[in-house]
Amino acid sequence: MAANRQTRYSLSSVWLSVRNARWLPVLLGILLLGVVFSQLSPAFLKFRNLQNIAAQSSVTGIMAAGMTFVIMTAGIDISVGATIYLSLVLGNEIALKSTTPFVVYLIYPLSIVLGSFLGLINGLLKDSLRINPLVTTLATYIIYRGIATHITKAKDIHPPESARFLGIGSVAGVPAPILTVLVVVIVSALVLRYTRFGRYVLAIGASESAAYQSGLPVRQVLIAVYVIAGACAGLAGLVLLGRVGAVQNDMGIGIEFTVITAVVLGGTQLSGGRGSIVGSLLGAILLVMINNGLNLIHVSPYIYDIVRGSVLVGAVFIDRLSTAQRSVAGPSSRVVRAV
Amino acid sequence: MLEREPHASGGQGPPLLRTSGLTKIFGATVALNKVDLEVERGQVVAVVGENGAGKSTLKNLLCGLLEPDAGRIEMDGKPLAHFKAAEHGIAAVHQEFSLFQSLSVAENVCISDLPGRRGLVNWGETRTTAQQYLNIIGAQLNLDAPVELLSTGEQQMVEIAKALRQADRLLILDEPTASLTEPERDRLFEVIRRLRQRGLGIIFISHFIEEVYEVADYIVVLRDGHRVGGRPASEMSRRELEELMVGRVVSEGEVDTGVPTDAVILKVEHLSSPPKVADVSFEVRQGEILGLSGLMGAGRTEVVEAIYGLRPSSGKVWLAGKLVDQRTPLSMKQLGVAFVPEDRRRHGLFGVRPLRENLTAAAIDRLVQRRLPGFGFAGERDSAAKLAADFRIVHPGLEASVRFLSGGNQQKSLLARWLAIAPRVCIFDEPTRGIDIGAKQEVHELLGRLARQGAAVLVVSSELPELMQLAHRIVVLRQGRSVAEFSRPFDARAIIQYAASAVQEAPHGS
Repeated sequence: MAANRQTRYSLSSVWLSVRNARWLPVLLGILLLGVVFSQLSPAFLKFRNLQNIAAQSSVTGIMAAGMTFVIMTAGIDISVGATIYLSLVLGNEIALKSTTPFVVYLIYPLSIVLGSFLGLINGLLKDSLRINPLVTTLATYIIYRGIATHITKAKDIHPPESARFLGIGSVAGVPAPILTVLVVVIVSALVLRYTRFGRYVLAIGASESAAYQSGLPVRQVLIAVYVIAGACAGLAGLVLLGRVGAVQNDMGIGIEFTVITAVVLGGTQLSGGRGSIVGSLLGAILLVMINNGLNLIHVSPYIYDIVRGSVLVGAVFIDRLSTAQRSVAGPSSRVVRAV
Repeated sequence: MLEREPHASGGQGPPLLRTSGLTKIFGATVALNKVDLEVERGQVVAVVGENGAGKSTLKNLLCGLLEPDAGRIEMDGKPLAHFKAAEHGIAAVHQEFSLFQSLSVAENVCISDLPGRRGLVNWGETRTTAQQYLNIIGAQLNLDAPVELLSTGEQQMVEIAKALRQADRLLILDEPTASLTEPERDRLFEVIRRLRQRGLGIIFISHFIEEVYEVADYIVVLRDGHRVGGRPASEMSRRELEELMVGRVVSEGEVDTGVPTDAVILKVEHLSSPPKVADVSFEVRQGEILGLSGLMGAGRTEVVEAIYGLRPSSGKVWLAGKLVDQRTPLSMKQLGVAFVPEDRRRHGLFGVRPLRENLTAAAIDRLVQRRLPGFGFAGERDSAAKLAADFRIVHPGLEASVRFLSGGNQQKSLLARWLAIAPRVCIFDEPTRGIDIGAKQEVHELLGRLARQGAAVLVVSSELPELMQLAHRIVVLRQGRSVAEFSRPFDARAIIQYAASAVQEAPHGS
């Protein structure tokens, strides 16, 4: 009898998981926007354009996957843009200056390792100084970019073609950026859902204190999520380098906010504990779609950001409405507020 | 304004405050059940009772923070409903201070309505006003000192001055002595007498029996939300008061707690964690339930937190004969120690996460699928479903956020989370606080079952009847020290005496 009950997935539990799927609104947003843009511009639904949107979403998407881990623990990392730049600049010093093709290929693992290392510094600083992650990563953002600029003297770096694979290459006809973001998102989503580490991340985000008191390795996990964010930034840097073809001084400036916007649009709560990696990718796609669609219907580029920001406000507002409806307004919560 | 209602005698006309049939229900719990209360001008009424008796609910109703479900509140015979306490001259000094640590004394006293015009603060007037109210209570404080530099007693004076500014008719003091030193306490009583002379009605909420007699004119006893007694202080004997507070031992369904063995599982020696815990020693045997009793602020929670490594401490903790050096929740869990904290919402549950994850949070390491390294949790859903069924947790679905469960079911899911790792030692801090009678009985049975299965169980509870029903032995704490130890059959009066009064020598057994 008990076995029967355990294995049966009731209809209500399926409905519950759909209702709890926080990426649902952003998916609806993408579909809605897709319908609107395809009506306004015949070019929008062309395969070429869709592939373009996917490729353009890749850099943000990869970084958003890493950022989701951080935000899921109620943290934040605004140094990721600077991490891209510094890991590429350091990688260039070691690998790209070489004329041996083999050494040039080292940029791929190197950039990821350097990104992880910079993320590790973020995590360790936050852990040992016990300052909030916003301040910690603001400081390292400035430092990382400072070091990088100091090395390059603000000059562009033009790498050999073989370092651009992740941006312009393709595997079996699939563009490398799209392949990369898909791999990252799938692996991240699996890690979050099916590993002990992923479970710890969710638990810590839901209540750090409860996680600690339940005997979970809170400190280690809180450092690890910044390492992941750094690694993703390092990888995203490789894609960006490939697409742009040069390491430029303004590389990654402001991208941290696009990434955070994508994560929040994707339904991850800034207070931690809830959200999804897939949602973050969808958020990144939605942001690119807005630009792409507005561009196709010849709207002035100057209003893109206004639209993107407004979409964010709208998304958060809708989320708030739906959570407010679901929450049980108990008398105890009233007392807490009143006292 | 301060001189309103100078006469300090009741008798003629309606009393200052009268409540009749005041009732408040939270979910399945009747927090306050048809309570009548009267306070005259210039009268100190002590409201006493154990934790959970309904004192705080009463306070919140009188302050207008909660709406009563039935009954009425009258000031001078006029009913109050949906009111702001300050508009009727009512204010409360809550147990947790609500001062702004970085602001000055003067600012704190006047914060509710800083004197000045058009958004600009008149600092001169602020200081004068603050001084005026500090004078009323006879407190001499530096008006410009930031509050964080003051002692607890001084902060309390600021808190009272601040309350007086909003309220000049009825002052409610909630456990005002809980964190005060002896001289500070005496000062406070002096202030209370002074305010009484000015014609204020005062409600003094406490569970310290001794001090009630020092200041109160009238004593009202609450128990389980009922008013179980009320008489002038001079006519109520101490013994009577104690009996009213505790009541007869509630015996709905005895709990089978089994018989402990002689093997000591948990041994605590000279445990100290300043300032709340000083030299606590005890042992818990296999299959034994040990109760930690004591008043609020006696250090009960701090003791168990120190054992579990949540606060720094000195002294020794032995687990099954082995000294545990580095105590952290992680290492304690690995040694088979379970810990269910007092504040389950903040420190226990993962509110937004599904019930399934909450149930398997402690045992998740054992569920990790070994075939594909590190990926997947074999049978997580099944074991969560089994736990939910075993513990009779009522839930809308395993995937529903645990915060949507009732308090009793939340507590049962926390217990289930820990019992899934079959712990050798279980530490429960107020395991039945805020849950309804039915769930309470189930939790009691679970604790009994744990003991019968051979776990060493340490239970902290502020409800003495509960401990007397469950525990094999009870250790009484006072001011962070273990002052007495009792075995079955328990003598409630003796336990209360040791917890509340200053008897020095400790008995063993009874």
